[in-house]
Amino acid sequence: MTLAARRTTDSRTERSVARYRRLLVLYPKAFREEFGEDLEQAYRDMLVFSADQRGLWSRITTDLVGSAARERARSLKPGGPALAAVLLVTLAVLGAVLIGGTPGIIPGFLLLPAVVLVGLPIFGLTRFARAWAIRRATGGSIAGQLALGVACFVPAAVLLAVFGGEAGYFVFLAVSVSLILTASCGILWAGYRLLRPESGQHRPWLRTSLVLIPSVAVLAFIIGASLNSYINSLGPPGDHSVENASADTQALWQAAFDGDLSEVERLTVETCADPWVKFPIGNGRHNAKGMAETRGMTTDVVAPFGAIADILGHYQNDWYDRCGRTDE
Amino acid sequence: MTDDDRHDPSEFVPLPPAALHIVLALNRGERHGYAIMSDVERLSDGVIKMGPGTLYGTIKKLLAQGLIEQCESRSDPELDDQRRKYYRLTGLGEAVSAAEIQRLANLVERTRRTAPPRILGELA
Repeated sequence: MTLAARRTTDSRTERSVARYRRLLVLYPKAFREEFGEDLEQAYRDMLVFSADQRGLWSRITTDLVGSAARERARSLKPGGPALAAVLLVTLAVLGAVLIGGTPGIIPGFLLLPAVVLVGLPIFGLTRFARAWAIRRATGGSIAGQLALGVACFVPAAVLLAVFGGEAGYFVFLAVSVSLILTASCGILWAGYRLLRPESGQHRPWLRTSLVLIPSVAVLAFIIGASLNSYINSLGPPGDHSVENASADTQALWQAAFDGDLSEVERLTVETCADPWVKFPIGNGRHNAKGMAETRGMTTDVVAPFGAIADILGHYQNDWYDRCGRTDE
Repeated sequence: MTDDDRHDPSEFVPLPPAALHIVLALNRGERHGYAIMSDVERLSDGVIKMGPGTLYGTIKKLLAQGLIEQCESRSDPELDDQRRKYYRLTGLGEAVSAAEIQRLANLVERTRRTAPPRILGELA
């Protein structure tokens, strides 16, 4: 090899090693401090001395991602991964409540984690995690969930009884949401205190959590959206069929089918159109607003399942009040 | 009584695949990281291609278990003048390695005795 060719190879190797060095940030700090130079040296040796360079980067990438995840998990306190898993379930449940948006369905969300978390020790799954961590987290999580339910429902019931009507409804919503947020922060903080990452491990713990939260958010969104969609599909009792609909209602349904959200909102508020639609398709009832958003493919993907559902609930109540319609 | 005496080698058997291959590579003497990776690849006929992360993650565990120990850093005359950390098996590590080799030999032997001729034909 000529001197010029060797220099080119050397600088290419060093650039590659520098890229690899930057990627080592994926490992926990303690691991990097102990083995960072060795990792780098081994990588350099592979580049310089390995006869077969085919697929080297894919092999290195797979190795890096897999081993970094393992080291991150090991860097947690003993029992940490199990506790983190339970916390993630709690987060998913809370996220589902928040995204699902309807405080009335919280009891359903209380049941799910209770069954899951109580079921873990019963079925002996604690062998796969640290038993103490599951027990502590189970107690904490269920207590937290129950406290959340009580904290939401008691004041809400009192406020509804005192204020009633529209004011009560919005106060109920505001109080519920703020309580859910407060309780979420409390449960998260309690989980963090329980994990008590070792000195110097706080940032890795947070980074690991940050990596996991998006997947939990997606899960929460799916659960919340599915449940909310299901509840919406049940709709209120009564005749909501196409055949017996008024002209206003038919116009509303047409707007819903056309995906014309503003027209749906206008008709729902200004006329006595029935916001619940029993389409001759599928097997459930749909609300006009949800249908309009689905048909119109609105860009705000959260809205149909969250605040809009609550506002629609308000419209429905208002519609029942104004039009003298009562549930049968 | 040394640390090695306090542990029963059978407690560590069977070793996870990565640890097994590293221990087998170190049976041949002191090795640095890249030499271990190369030996693992050679021993497994190229089936196991270990990366640096897996290697040092496993080395960390083996060090903590007392199966291997670090030797003095030095350069490898076959490579270049860079200083590298070398590792070797401890007494306990050698005992675990022997137990693991015996276990695998027994497994192969019993399998050969009980496997149908069709499979043995493929092994031959």
